[in-house]
Amino acid sequence: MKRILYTVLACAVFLTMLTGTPKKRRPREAGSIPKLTAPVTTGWQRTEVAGIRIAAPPNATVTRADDVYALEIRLERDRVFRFEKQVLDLPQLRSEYPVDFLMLDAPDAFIVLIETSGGNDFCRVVACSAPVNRAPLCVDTHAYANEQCAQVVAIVRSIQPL
Amino acid sequence: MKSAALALVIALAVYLLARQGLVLHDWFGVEGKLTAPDIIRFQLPDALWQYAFCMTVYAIWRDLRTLALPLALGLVAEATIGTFDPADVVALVAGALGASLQIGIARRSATRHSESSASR
Repeated sequence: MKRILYTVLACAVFLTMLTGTPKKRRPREAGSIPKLTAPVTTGWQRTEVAGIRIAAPPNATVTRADDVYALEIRLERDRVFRFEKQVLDLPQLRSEYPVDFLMLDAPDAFIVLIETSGGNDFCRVVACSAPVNRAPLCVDTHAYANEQCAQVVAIVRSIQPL
Repeated sequence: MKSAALALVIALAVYLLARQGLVLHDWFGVEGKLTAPDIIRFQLPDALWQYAFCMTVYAIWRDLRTLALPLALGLVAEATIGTFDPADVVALVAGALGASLQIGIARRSATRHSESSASR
């Protein structure tokens, strides 16, 4: 019984130490959340895959996923974005967030800033292409770099049927 | 246990002196100004914290299998409070392995010592 008590105490002490390690949260000032725009895709590589034409940043790799309705784009090492044929309710998903936190807001896409208690903020991006063979290719993902979220929107907007 | 305490002191020193803008700096009223490679600033404290946690739990139970508990808690904390950066995960596992290695060596030398005492 004593051992269990000591173990619980040790766990409590060690986990309490971690409360000091996150970054300090500073309250956001009004207008401090950046507004993003999708980058222009001039100079990007054009790939034809799975019946569509898609633009991707230089150094990105575009692959068809195992199932026929999805594409995977690797923007950097260990970061793969998946674009699937699906229908997402963008207005519904968008309504879950305060307007102030929307960094990009368009009919076909939105990027929202997600704050975490640990200070590791990230962006969530939801975007859908124009319909390709009756269904749009959509993505609902996140990234730690705002630029990557914006790139995902540009990629989705570049999708065209062959 | 001395090594666990030393590991915690070193980890705390790294956090206080080589990192900036952490809650910890408010507690101690200091701000880190030293520059160091990322592996020292980020992964070393993780590994030392995990090592100290494992050594403490082992000191209570004297059973190597119980090291799974601090390692599991470390990984859960990394996934929730931390970023679950693969390098941090490697550091945590390395910390736990370091502790188990040290315990294994200590146990082996204790066994040899008791055997040689008994044979005299």
